[in-house]
Amino acid sequence: MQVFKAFLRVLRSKFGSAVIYIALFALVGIIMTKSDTSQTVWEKAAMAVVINDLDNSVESRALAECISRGNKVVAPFDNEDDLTDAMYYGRVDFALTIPEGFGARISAGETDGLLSSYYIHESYSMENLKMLLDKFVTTYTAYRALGQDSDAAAKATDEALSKEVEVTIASRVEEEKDNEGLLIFFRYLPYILMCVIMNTLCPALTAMNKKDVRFRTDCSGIRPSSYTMQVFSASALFVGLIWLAFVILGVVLNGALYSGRLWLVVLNSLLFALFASVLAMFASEFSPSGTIVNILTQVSSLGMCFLCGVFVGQELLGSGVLAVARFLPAYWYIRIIRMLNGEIPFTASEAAIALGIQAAFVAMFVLLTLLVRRTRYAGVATHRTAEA
Amino acid sequence: MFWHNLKYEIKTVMREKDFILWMLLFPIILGTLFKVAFGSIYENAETFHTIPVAVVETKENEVFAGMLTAMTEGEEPALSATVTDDGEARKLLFDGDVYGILYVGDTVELSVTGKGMQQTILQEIVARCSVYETVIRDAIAENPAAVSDAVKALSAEVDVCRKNASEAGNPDVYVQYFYNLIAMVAICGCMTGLHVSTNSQANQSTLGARRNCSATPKSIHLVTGVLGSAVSQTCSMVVCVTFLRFVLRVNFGGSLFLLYLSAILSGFLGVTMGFFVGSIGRMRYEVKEAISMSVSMVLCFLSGLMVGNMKGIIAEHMPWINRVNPVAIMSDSFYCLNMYSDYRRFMTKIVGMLIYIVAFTVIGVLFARRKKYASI
Repeated sequence: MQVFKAFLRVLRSKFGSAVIYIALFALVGIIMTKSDTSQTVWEKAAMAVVINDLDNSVESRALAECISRGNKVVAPFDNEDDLTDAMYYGRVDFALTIPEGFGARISAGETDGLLSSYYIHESYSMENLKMLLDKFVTTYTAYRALGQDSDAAAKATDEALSKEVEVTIASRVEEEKDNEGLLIFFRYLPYILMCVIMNTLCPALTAMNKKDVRFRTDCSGIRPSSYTMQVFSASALFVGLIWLAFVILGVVLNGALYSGRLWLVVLNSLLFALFASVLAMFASEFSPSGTIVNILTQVSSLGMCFLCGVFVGQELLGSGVLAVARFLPAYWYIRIIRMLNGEIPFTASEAAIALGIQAAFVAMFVLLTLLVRRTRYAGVATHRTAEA
Repeated sequence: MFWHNLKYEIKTVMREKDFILWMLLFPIILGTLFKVAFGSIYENAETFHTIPVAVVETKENEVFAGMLTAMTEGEEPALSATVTDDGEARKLLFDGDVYGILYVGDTVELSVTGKGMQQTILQEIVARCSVYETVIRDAIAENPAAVSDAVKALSAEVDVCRKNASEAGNPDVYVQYFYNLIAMVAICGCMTGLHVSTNSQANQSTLGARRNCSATPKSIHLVTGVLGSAVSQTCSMVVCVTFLRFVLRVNFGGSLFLLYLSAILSGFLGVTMGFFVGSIGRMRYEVKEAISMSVSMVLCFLSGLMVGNMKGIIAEHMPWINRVNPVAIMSDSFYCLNMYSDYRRFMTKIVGMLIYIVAFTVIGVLFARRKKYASI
């Protein structure tokens, strides 16, 4: 148990930095979870619109009322730069200008070029706006054709357009959604686990792998397999504690304990935490400096998370990207989250395959670590024999 | 003495081969992954494309048939309809081949699996059918003679709105991931800045102890150290921008010269931030390294590196964070170059970066100088 104890002592000396990593990345996890949105029932996707009503007639007010129903009307901005920023970052879909004389022109039966819109993205919102405006104008014109005056036509149009249409959510019989708030937290967990575990475990393992420490250990009576087992056990204990901290944070964020299929997501995260720890072990075999560990951590965690659909949904990624992502464990981790979220059908066999593949990645990196360790030690032994 | 020290600082930094290699590889690897992942998302997912929909007819509906014909015709029609039976339609829906199923009978009903603008457009179509029925019903009740005029008005093809698209820069919102990648590479320069302060403090490194005994003023050690690190960081930034712009062909928009200038200044800011963190307090190097790296990543996260719309969310709720977050200032400078033809806002960001650089350097030097060590 000497190695086990020594390793824990090294870890304790890195405790301060570990706490900083855990606290700040936990904060990232909390913000990610709170800033994400989820849905349980179908609702209209709201557009965010800036309306500049320069006409202020009965018709223009009716149109503004029609647009504001189910959408978000944003107050006009003080300057064009702020509007551009808001449209670029998706806070506003477009700015609609109702010019002076709109009421008079529509009352006179004009239908074309009555309004103008300003936008950045030629998006689905623009098509939706076109439909909405066309619907308003044709309905108003139809009521005018019935002989109604402009006030009555505007009122009748408003009433006709205010009727809600029911939309049903189609779902497979076996498909059910688990607690979505919790799933959002677990969705981002791979990035956090990789950052925290690699940044904290790697420096400790690298310290144990230092030439002097290794040579002294080689001279001692301890068997290499026992040394490796003790290092693995101490690492597992440390990683287990980190993982447990995040699982408890999940409970706190959720406000309830895990139940039913949600235990699957807990198991999923445990396997990913194990993967992150064996990756850290593998990397530390090459004795990287602290700075290199940081860069390596960011490249591997960000790269994997972007490719596998942690930050940007798998449904948005191309088939080529997903074909590559299949060779990474985060892809299978996210598949389980998607199954529980109802995005793809849940089957026990599919879930078992996803978990099994993650376990296989863990086993593969354990073997690779042992292989590198043996090769490096064998290299040192040969070198030392030759020197002797 | 200044130039002598600067020369050796640059030599020392350049001899950190594995670090230099990783700082160069870092943007190349991540940039390539970003390009692979986001290369076509904007074109495929954000911009409008014809919406596929399944239509299940249980009874003939002339109103809907006319509307569907109008919506499926033209160069880029709003809809592409597949008329089929319920079982096949559900299969298409669950396989993601269509966004919804329109059940057509006396009334039209919509069934979808998710929420999105595509589904909302489908709902608009159903709503339009409902409005059509309401107007006809009102027409029959009020003025039966004018029913045909009302139908004609409802069926008229109109073009109500003149669309004015912004002509500024590249509207691809996914380019902001590349802005943030450049900003992240720049802020990673804090690790070299951290080395500068560590190597000048007697309680942090043996080199620091030797330097404290030398006759060279500490301020010269510190300033040359920061400048030496800034030179290496400049190389990283130039390679990063060149690779993204010319190899991956990311369209940043705006002036290329100013893009390089902004990236180099960002790198300088990263170095001075590390120098500042390294200079304060008497914590061990590992703790300062953890603070630098984790704070940098939190700043990158708040700037939108991991969640693309984070900057927009922050702008809505706590806009001051975007104004003070150095990483957000860096990525904003690239954004301003892309989206604004005048350089007023870009210059504001550059001035913001310069203020940070001067503040971090001055405070760092003030903290690091005249330290006395009772025991090291």
